[in-house]
Amino acid sequence: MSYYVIGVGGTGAKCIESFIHLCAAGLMPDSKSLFCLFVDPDGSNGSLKRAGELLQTYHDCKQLQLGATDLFKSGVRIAQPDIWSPLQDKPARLDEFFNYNILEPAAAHLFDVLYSPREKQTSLEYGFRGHPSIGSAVMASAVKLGGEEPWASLRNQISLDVGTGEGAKVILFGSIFGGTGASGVPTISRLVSNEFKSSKLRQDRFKIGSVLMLPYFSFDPVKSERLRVDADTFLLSTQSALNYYHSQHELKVCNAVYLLGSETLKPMRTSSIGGQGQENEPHLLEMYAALAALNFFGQESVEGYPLVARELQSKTRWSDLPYDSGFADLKKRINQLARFSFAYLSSYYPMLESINDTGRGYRAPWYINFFSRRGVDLKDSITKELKQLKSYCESFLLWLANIEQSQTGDNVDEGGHLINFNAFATTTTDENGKPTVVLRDPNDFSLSHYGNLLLPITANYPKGLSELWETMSDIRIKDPKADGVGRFVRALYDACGKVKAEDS
Amino acid sequence: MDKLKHIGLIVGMAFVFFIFALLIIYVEDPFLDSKVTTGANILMDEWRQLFRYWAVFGISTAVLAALIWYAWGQWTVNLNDWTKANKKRIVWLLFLLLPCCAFLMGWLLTPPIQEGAIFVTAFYLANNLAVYLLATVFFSPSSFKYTPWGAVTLRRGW
Repeated sequence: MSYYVIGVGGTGAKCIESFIHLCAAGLMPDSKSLFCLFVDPDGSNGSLKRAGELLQTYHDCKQLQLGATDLFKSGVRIAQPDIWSPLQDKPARLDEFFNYNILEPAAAHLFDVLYSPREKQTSLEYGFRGHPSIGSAVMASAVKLGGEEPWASLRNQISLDVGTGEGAKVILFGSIFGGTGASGVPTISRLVSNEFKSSKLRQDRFKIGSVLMLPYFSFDPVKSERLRVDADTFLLSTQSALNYYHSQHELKVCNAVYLLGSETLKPMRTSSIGGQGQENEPHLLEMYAALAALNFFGQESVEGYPLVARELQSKTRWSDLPYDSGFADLKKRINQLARFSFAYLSSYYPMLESINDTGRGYRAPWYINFFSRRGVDLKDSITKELKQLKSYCESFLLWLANIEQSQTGDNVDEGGHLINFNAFATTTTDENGKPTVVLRDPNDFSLSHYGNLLLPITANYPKGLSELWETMSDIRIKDPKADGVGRFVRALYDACGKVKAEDS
Repeated sequence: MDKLKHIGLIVGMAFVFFIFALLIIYVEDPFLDSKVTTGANILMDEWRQLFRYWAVFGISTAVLAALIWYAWGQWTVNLNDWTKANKKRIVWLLFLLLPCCAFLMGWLLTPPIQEGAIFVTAFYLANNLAVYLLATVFFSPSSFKYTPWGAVTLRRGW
């Protein structure tokens, strides 16, 4: 089975971000490759940019020769171009996009009925401004599966998978309280589905699902903009969208639809109509979205209307998170990747940098075993693979911290929900006085918390990192496919799973 | 598993001690019998007994130093902080404190001889140095396995 993930809009991109982290932790059902595509009219959107960079980092890390391991298990194929905009090389105003001035009178009048003058004339450079009516028209007109890239490649690849019997599963992420996701998800679902569900055989080999995000965050309105997304209308927009999807059977093409929402809207740090300023921090609900995608990919077919909800109103616990092989497995894998990232950033990368600068490799027996004796060029790899891995580990820990912060908020005294993020991150205030989570300098990581990165803490492992160092000094990797820097990374990841820690 | 590893490494140190003890008794002592001429105040057999005593004392001190290094490195040092991974000075300090002192004691307290003193000095020095080096090079705690001089080249496979 081949897997395809399409993130529509800023929220869709953030869901892909969570999904990539879960893939890095080895939570995909198998190691088959994943095709990723972002759809957004606002290519400079900060959240999209962050997700795109993460995808590229994952792709780079996947080049490491790790052998058979869960770490970075899934291969990724990034669409070319990775971000597709329906407004690419086209006018960024609705009236110009549809050549309003030269429309026949009847069509022009219909256009006038459907869109207000403000809607017709506002620049769509930063997206559809929370207006799905604009997005639907633009999307339906612009997406051509047989035409431009990346749609042509997507279609050819799915055709190949379906034709050879490999099978293909496509999932779309998007919000339904904004403009891009609400219009893009049903439109793209329908277009892709129509292409591949024409015969019974194809129906068996092709499945499509959607993850639709109901309101879960809010932000202050951008007062300078006349046509804008307004968090106050999120619920109303959602209700309208759901009613519309229901009455028009918009989502009937999907084999599975996941709807996720939260009764409390988390205020986002930034308020922006789009562009780089629209970089919203990750949220727990996006992790749920990624878990929904894993459920879709992992199940032969999703039947009925599965419901998940957390047990306690005031607290999210690991046991609340849905994962096919059980929450304990999910927690264990996230924990292993968290410990790996923590150890790599706090100890292993700094030591490798120090050896690169001053020599004295004898200080780190694992360096002698995995670099020196195997002829791995540290000078070269510290600027390439090891740096890319550092970048990934930073993204992962920051993502984890934000996931926790999205639940804890500023009430750190509550005891937290899922992640003991104070061990590696801290909450500060940005220039606008809003709380923001930043990664600590690795020198300031709370090293004694290495074994207690996830909550709840039931026992302390104050020397966990020291034990890891000892394990790393002796560890042997028998996998012949693990080679070069990948062999060291594999060893560290395996060792992180061996050393005693919370839930190991 | 960890316990077995520690036992294995400590037994390794004991093995080095045992080999050198045998070397002293069956190789060095008979060798010195033909090379050393004692003074009038001591019989050769008495002198040889003292040599064996101080030689074994020297290698015992050397292996004790190696054991102290092992116990300290394994159970005392907390390597949560990677900057504490360089313990080269400790290895040399332990060597200077114990095996070198033992060498000096043996050298000073063994009765003076008329001939062959150079061999006695060489044996005391070589025994202590070799036992300490071999015990630390091959049987140091895992986290510091390549800290002793020569371990990077010699210690392989465990």
